[in-house]
Amino acid sequence: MTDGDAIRLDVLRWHPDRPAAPWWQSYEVPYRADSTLLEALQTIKDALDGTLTFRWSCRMAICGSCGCMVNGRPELSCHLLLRDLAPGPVRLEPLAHFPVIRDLVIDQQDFLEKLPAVGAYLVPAADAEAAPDTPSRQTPAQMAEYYQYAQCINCLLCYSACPQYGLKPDFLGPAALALMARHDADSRDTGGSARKAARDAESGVWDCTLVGHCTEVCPQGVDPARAINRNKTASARDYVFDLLMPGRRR
Amino acid sequence: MSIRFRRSHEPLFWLLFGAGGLVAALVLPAVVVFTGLIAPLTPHSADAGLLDYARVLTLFASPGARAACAGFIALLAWHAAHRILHLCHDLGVHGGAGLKWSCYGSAAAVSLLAGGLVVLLPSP
Amino acid sequence: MTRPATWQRDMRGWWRRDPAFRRYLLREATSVAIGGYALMLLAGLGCLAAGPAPWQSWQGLVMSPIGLLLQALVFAAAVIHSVSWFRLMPLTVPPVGRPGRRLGDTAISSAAWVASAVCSLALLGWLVYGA
Repeated sequence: MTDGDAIRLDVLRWHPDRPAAPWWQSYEVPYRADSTLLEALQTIKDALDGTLTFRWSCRMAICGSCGCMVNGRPELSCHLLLRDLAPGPVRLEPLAHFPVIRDLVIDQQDFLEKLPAVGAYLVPAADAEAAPDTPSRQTPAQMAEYYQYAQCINCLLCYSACPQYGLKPDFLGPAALALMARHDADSRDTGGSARKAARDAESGVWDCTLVGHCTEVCPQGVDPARAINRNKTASARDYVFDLLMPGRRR
Repeated sequence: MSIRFRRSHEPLFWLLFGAGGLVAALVLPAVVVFTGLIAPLTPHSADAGLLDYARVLTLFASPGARAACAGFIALLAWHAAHRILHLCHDLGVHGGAGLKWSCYGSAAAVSLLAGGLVVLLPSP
Repeated sequence: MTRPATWQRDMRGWWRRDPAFRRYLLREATSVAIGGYALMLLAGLGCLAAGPAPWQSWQGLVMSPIGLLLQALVFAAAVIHSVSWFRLMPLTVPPVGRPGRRLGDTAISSAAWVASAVCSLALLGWLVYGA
């Protein structure tokens, strides 16, 4: 490959002033051996078409802003090299299953409302709360129990990979439920019982049918499919116990 | 926590689905190989063969074998009913409560029938 | 708070978007074959309870070319089911062992396959040599 190669990007665009239907627009973008897909979008915005709208921030796969569908698969555009997508064309669409505000920009509101509902924050034991300057010790083995789930960057690729979220918008979804499991699995946390109502609901773990694509597309190696399906087992166990022993403390 | 959550009764059906799925994963290929390959290939006449009437009745003479047979059929039915219900939903067939009741109702009917029939099996 | 105007694609034909979705649907569709086979066994049980003549006709149906063809389909479905079930099993079982010394996915799947082999051989032995 030589510098000076070009690749065609086909972008699905939508604008609120033209609300009837989205349309495809093609751009021929020059690229180098180290160019990312995000840089191609920036080239379009700077040199070819200033009206193209997309989100980005860190350029290094940690902020979770630049997610979009690349050839039908949810990806971070900063995480893909154009040379790996050559010869193209590359099909770019906004993240699936979300309302589109404009071009590649989606509305994250639904996720932002669900995140607090799963109790995705640490609830320390009462004595730890009473002595805030005392360190809460944790062994490496205890940390390893949740560390993978804690890598979530809220990029929402897993929601775009989940047909059940598309079919049932109430579903809390992969990332929120993985973050629920992340805090349940933390040895310093005591908030497990408060998370059970969300877990045991239809829109909690029970809307999942283990398609498993969420885990496959995660750029951070988080395993939401495992988080959700282990919690199905836990939820089913509690269901049976509550059936056999009504009024038991949870 | 502004979203209101109501506890799902899915665990009941999921446990039956899981039990059926586990049993099927463990032995179903072997059972199908028996009924579809080993039994037809074994030489048989009117009064001899792996699926000979008297022989099969002898196999299922014990209460344990009868319970296992009925349980196997029932669990396969619950497994299938649960997955077919979700498959319909996935394919855009929204049957609502009616579809749900017919799926799980069929599984319950198969379970009752299987349970009744093993009781009614004649002694060898 | 007013939300911005948006556009959203519907879910029609969502399985066309990724081969992973079609593999998932294939896995789920094995249940149709498994359910059908359960009905076949139930019919056999009914015929067995009814007497030698009905049992003979059920046997004839099961061993007819169309019966054998359908069972070949059920076998394929059962194999897909076993492979996918044991592959996904580690995602569903609670963690085994102490933190830091958790049983790995491969160990769980392998144990399931060993259990399947043992159960299958025992069952086949009973069906062939049991009486």
